[in-house]
Amino acid sequence: MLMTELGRTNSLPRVMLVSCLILLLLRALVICYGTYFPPKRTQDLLVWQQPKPIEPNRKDLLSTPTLYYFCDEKNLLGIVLTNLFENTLFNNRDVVELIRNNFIPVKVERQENAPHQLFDDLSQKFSCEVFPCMVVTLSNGTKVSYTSWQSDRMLIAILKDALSQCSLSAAQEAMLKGNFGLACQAFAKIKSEKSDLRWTLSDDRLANTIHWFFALKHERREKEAAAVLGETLSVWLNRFPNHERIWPIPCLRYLAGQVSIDDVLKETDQYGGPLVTAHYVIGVQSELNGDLETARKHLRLAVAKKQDEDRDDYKLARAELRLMGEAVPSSEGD
Amino acid sequence: MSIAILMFTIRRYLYWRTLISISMLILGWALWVGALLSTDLVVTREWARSMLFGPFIPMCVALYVISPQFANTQQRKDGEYLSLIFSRPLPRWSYVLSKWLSGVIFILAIVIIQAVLAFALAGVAGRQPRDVLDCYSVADAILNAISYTALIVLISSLPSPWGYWIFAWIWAACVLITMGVGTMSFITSLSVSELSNSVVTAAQFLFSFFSVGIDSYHVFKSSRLPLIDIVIYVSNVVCYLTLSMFAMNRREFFYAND
Repeated sequence: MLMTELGRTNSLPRVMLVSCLILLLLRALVICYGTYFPPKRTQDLLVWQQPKPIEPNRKDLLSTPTLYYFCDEKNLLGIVLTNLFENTLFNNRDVVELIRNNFIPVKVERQENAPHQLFDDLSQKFSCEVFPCMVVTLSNGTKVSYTSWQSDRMLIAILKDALSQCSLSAAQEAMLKGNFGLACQAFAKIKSEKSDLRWTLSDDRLANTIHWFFALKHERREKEAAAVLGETLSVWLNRFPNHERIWPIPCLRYLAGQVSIDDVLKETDQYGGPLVTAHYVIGVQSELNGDLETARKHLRLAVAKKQDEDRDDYKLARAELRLMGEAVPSSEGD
Repeated sequence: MSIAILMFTIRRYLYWRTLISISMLILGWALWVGALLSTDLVVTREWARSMLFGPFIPMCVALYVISPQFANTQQRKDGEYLSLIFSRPLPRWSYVLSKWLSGVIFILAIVIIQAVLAFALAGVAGRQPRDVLDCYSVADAILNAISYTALIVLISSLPSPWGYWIFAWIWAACVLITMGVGTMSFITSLSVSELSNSVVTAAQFLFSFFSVGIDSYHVFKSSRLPLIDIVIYVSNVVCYLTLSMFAMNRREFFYAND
């Protein structure tokens, strides 16, 4: 076994030892100073608003979204975690600027020996179980995004993502409530933002195109509807020339008048697309073309697909039937 | 510091078995990161950035290549060079520093190869490196390589049971905090009125030894200069190296295995 000489070779460099001790002392001093003379709390950087009960009937869905910050300071652990959370995230200039410019910041806190009914109601509504956490909502209280412990960079990414999703959620909400003018505004906003998020994701983009097309048609903006449909189809087919049967391209081609109802249903079956979407698309298009009998038939078929009740198209088919004056029993998704 | 030991240690890392296994890991990791980069979402891009320039690559590579507790170097046929290098007495601190520096260089080389591969893969999907590559990413890569290599040098200089225990604690803290908070740099002055200041100070002082890495973005974008993060980072690197020198001085060591 090869060994180094004892004595000459195993001395610790004095510079290293002294600098280590000095740095450790400095560390202790800095920590002591920070503890005994704490910096100002983050409330000074961000002006948090007091929480109010949610107004679910608000129609200004495209207004500034709300950022709820939940913190639970009922015990010592909660206080420590809240302090750490705020020191980590709300001291970052970029985070503060992003929140100030794009959100209505609302702090919902629970403190020991203080009434906390609103805290309980809001945290239950938004399914918050881990504190501290943040929830982004539309003005009517529709939950868009949730996050808890993150690095400041990741929080910025999540908040930007949430901002982009807000317009999409607003569009979906407006479609469900039959407010097609607002839906058109929301879809146009998503596109004008040239967001690199949801809109460019192929499946979502295609689904959004269908909904935007119907919203425009409901508003009798035929030319714009044709333009939206034509643009998406040409972009998609230029990029993937052999994918004209990939789902939901058959639905878009049907809306453009290139294929018949039978072809859509056949290709849906052949390529595994959800029938609920096919029936919804056929139903609404027939309704808009004045063929109410076919419309009712296909919308009822869409609503009969109870296994797809989490899909947007299922909920939208129910909403369309209601608009046509049909009695649709309420369900959890409504 | 000995240039001969530095060059020789780097040469030891280029052992064929190590290279093959690391190449496989790099390729797998690059594919994953490239896929995340290709996805058109800011959140996945941020994930990709932390996977490329965060603490995981430095820690895993340093452990795999440097630490005798994990890297089996017994099978390497390095003996023929040792007699020349150790023909004169070599200070052990010099050996520790050479090992640390060689580890930093090796890890940075791995990070660069990793990033180039991932960006090339993402480039196929039309994504630009500038989406994730900024001055903070470069700073994080260098600073994490420096600090995590120092930590692994400390672990590798300890006898096996101690090394394993320290590794387990550090790893648990890293995983817990990195998964929860992101890069660890959150021990900014904490003041809790319900606790005595001395308890808070002592707890922070002790816990800060686990705060290995630093998040340069957090430091530079903070509304007030987080002096505490910087002091903790620098003092931890110096402390790890000093302790590893101290440990090496107190035990026998065999170069081919250490």
